[in-house]
Amino acid sequence: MTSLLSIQGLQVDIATPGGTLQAVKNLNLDVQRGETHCIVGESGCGKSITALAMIGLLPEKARITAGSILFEQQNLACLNEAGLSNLRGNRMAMIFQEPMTCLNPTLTIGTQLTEGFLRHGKGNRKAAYERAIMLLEKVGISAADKRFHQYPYSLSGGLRQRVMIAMALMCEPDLIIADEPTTALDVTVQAQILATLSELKSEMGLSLIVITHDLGVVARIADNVTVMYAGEAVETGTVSQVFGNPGHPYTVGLQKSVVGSADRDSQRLSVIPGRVPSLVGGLTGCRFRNRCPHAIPKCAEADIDMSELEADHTYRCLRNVSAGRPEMTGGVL
Amino acid sequence: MLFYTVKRLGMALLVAFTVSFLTFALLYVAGDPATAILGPNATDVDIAYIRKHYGFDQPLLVQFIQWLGRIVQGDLGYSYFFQVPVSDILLQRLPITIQLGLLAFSLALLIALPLGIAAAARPNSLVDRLALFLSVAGQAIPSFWMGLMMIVIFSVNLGLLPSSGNDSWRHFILPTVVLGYYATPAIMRLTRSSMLEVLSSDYVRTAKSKGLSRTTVLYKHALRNAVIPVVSLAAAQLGFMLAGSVVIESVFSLQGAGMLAWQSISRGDLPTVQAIVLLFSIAYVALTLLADLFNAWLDPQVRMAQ
Repeated sequence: MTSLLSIQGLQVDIATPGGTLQAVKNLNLDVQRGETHCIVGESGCGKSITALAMIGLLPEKARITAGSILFEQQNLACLNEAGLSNLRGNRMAMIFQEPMTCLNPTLTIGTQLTEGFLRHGKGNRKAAYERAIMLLEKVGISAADKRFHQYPYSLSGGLRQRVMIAMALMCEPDLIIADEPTTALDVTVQAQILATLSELKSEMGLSLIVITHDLGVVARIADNVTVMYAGEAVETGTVSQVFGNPGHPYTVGLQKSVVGSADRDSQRLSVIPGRVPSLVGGLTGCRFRNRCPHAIPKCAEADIDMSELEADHTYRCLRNVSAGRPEMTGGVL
Repeated sequence: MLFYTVKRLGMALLVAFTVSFLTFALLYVAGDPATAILGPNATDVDIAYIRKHYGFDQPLLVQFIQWLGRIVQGDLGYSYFFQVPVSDILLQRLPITIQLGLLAFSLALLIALPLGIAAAARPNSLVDRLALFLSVAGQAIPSFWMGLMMIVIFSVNLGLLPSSGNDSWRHFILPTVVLGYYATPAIMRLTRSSMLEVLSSDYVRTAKSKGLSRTTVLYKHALRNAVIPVVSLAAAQLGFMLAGSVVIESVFSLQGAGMLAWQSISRGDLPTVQAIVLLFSIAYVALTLLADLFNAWLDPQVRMAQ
């Protein structure tokens, strides 16, 4: 079975005044039809840049310098703007982080919902209106017709994010990329939005890529997960594999720094010491080594390849530190 | 929208009322008006007569109300210098100033808006650099100097256009270009920076993510938002061009209201000055009101603000 989306060896460079910044390095990612794939990592690890690269909306200073993004056998990395804009909003759609600023304040919700539908020739205005109302109801917005004619300022953040979801679904895309879809929302609203997203995903049979830093989100909705650190994928597998049997020290650290996972004896939340290295200029070796309790000199010598821990579960580490091994139980992190 | 319009209209009327009072007071700030009319050698009897004749002996408030009543009826006073009603003079002079102002304003918009948008759509491109050059030059060159240079080039050397007067449309070309160019840089720079800001906004990214064409994103999503601050600036500029074309009018010897204002000040012809100041102030208030209403039409949040 071929994947809906297959990213091979993706590299994204950003030109900065200090030199070239390797925002994404040698990233591989496969998303099957109907799969929910989470990309997780802390701020600046390259997860949002990856999302923007997928939909061809990288900021001007960022450039795909190597690799391919195959979407239904079509390489998006080589596609021109016209080709990309035919796919955008049509076959793949995106939901952004900030619902408060992502809707145009001077256009009605209805205009913004229907314009993509009309642009991609999915039907006439009447069909667009009907689909918009249907989807607004589906994402849990009551009085859909009233909302259709309103401007964004009269909607709350949660409602706006629901509108964004409805908007993403307008053209029945195969893939939705959601970049931190719930980060800007209240905790209760977060849960509702996530539930809506997963329901719609299974109902419409689409694939979902969710970018998040929140492991709670991952646990709630993901089938598979890719953990990113400093522009690299450090571990990938199913949710139960990655969280149940983490292979990379960074994954372990992430898990331990989640509220609720605090060590019962110390009652303190773990933090990963140190900071993410600067990605400007060439970096060799493991990018996590200066924060890693298991680092050995060899970690700095050469770039480390992904190795297989079990079927479909790979990680990027020289040390075998998965759960149950003596190094890990020390809980040094 | 109706509520907003009524509210803004009420505020504009209040401002206009205040302005009219200040204009009225102008006559008294300048000194005793009776002495101003008669000159320093007047006798006490003459002064007393003039005071009574013009009603200067009444309480200030009564005078103001009487004056306001006359203004509302279209009586703008009697020119000391011309010895005719001020409104008669203004009827001759105002059309020239308004024509010049509107022509120059249209020219400024025609240059500033497309260039500003094009510059923002492709920053650091050739168009952007050309726009920057034009606006820096426009801001650096004083308009009287540019006016004189235009006369030297187009009237004296090439003999293409008349250098002074207001007899035909050809007389308006040079003043329009000079005054229009003067107003262009500010509008263009604001259009560019406002457009750049909007183009990097989240909702423009959303629009792009829907696969909309570049043109749709630029004009439907970006411009509508970007033009909001430009509208306010443009209204102020137009007000300024109507009232502030004194320099241009004198360089090109256009017999407009700006020129008249300047001459009347030096002649001590206070009723004329008063009428012009009042008219221009009210034009300014009206333009600001129009700009606000236009912005409310553009921006629903302004429109609905209670």
